[in-house]
Amino acid sequence: MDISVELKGVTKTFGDVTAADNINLEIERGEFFSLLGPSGCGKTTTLRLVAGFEQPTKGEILINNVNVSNKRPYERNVNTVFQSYALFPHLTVAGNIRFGLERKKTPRDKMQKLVQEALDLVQLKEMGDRFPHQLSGGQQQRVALARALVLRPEVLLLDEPLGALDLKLRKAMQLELKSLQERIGITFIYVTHDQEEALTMSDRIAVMAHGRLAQVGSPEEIYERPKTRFVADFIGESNFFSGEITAVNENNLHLKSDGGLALILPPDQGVSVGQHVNFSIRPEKFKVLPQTEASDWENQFVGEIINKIYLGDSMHYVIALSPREEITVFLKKERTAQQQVSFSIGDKVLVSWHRDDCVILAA
Amino acid sequence: MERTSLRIRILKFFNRHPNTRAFSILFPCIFWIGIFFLLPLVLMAVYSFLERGLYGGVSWIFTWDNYARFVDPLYLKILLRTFRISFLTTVILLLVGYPMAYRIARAEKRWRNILLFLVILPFWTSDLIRTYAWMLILRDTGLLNHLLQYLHLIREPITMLYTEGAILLGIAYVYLPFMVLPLYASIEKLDPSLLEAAEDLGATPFWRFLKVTMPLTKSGILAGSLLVFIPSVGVFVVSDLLGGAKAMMIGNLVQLQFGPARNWPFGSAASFILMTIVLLAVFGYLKFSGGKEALEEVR
Repeated sequence: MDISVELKGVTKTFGDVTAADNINLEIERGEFFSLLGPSGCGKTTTLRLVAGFEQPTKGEILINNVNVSNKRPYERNVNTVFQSYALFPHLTVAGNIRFGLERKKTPRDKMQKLVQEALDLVQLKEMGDRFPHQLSGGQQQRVALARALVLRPEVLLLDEPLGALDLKLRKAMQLELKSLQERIGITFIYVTHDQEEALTMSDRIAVMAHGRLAQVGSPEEIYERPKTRFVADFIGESNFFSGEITAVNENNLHLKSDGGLALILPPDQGVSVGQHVNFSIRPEKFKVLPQTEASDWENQFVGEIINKIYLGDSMHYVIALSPREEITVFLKKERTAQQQVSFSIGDKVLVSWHRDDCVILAA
Repeated sequence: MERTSLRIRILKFFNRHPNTRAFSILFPCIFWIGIFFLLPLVLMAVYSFLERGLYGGVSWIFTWDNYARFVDPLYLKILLRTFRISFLTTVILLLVGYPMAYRIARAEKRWRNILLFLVILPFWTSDLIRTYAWMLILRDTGLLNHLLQYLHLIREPITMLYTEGAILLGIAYVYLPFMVLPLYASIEKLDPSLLEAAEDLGATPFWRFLKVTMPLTKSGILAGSLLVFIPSVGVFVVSDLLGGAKAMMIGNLVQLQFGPARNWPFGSAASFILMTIVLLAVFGYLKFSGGKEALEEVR
């Protein structure tokens, strides 16, 4: 495996606040890697440590297998796209892009070519002579990107680069960024608090909470197999249950939930009879049928609809399964499915779900 | 009822004559500038072309002599010294004031106001008293010479008072806040993420200062330089007390002509020559540094 960036036990404290706590990460060359978490989780600090704006209190940072922990930002082959873009207001777009090249003592004619290429890359061909304040937010964002990419860094660091754009533009830029990254093959480390953004763009995601890594994995792993309640809650939406294991066999776990439901869960190592466990189910995993019909899935219960929300392309129902257990269910509106049936508040319905859709969470 | 209708009548009048409305607002300002600035200026302009009166005052006889007299090497030397001192003061204050302003602007918030307060603190006493204090420090039997002798660094006192250096020091001391405050204002506005961006793009601290910090704080540099240079050209108290007769500045010359020498026409001519040169210098400076836009940005 070709490692681009490696963090070994990196810790950063500010006074008595630990912003990054024993972070261990290996990021592959050419990977689109996201640091995802709520504000204050340490994701930006981690990025700034890689950039060199902060020095680790403990641990080592390796870029291209070289320890750069105590190197200044200008000595590292990484570049940053800042959240505020940080374009130099006194320089033109071309001047901004040239800034780093001038430091590298690039020959004049080559520089001209590189600047033009960078402008083409971000589709700002004609904008070289403009000043940053004459550009829209999206264009400024592209200039920031071009300014960093023109230096061909080993790693490109992006600190919530789309945060200031409106929703439509953000969606478009997500796709554009992703395809750009695939084309040029530079390692991207992308900081965001937007879980959807991270899921769409990343090869791998590190979910962070309280300065620690909560889980590292592919978007699918993170979404389908969250390890902790925090991850399950932060990424998408989840229904949480807890209960006591009543029986363990080869294929199934049997569990009695706190609300008294007898449930079947997938087998899990390290779980024994009598143990109290937490697990989650994604709201789109449920099947909801009129009470009179039957489902062939392992878990099925009769519940009562207590709320419904119309969202255009889908319906959200809140269903009480037991006096203590309410679940949220997302139903896509499909033309062909029988689920076309719309339920009303107060209706009794049959809710069923597959054994394997229950994800057991670490305590 | 009565009052309201009067108000409405006034408003209607202004609506019919929009120009009088603007004038009525500007009137106090125009009045003030007219009486206390323009009128004396015109008076001086007229005086500068007249002959001196026998017992002070002026005789109403037209002459160019007051201006012609200035070509005398004696006066040209004073003029040259004045601009040399003012220029050096400005440069020294830039070199001293910039790091100071930078440090204050980047200090923790609770320290910032305290430090700014300390910069302004000397204004609480008159600069006359502060200049006298410098005399006590600099003279042959003063604090500094005593200290150096006590430390056996020198045997004979060094002459510090009544030199150009003393004037330089005195003016720089008095005008330091005028340099630091505008610099502080522009540095404080500087977005720290721009400095990080520069470093990120490979700029060493020196290059970063040259290419980002300085251009972006140009307005402060220009404002500070002008605020120091222009008044320091007209200084006379500091140069009188710290420079003595040997290092006369043009301010002293003007003061002398209006005071003991009783030659108002020549004093007026000297003032106008000074004013013209300062105007040209400032204009050239702004033109050269592209500073007009920068100063407009400050507003």
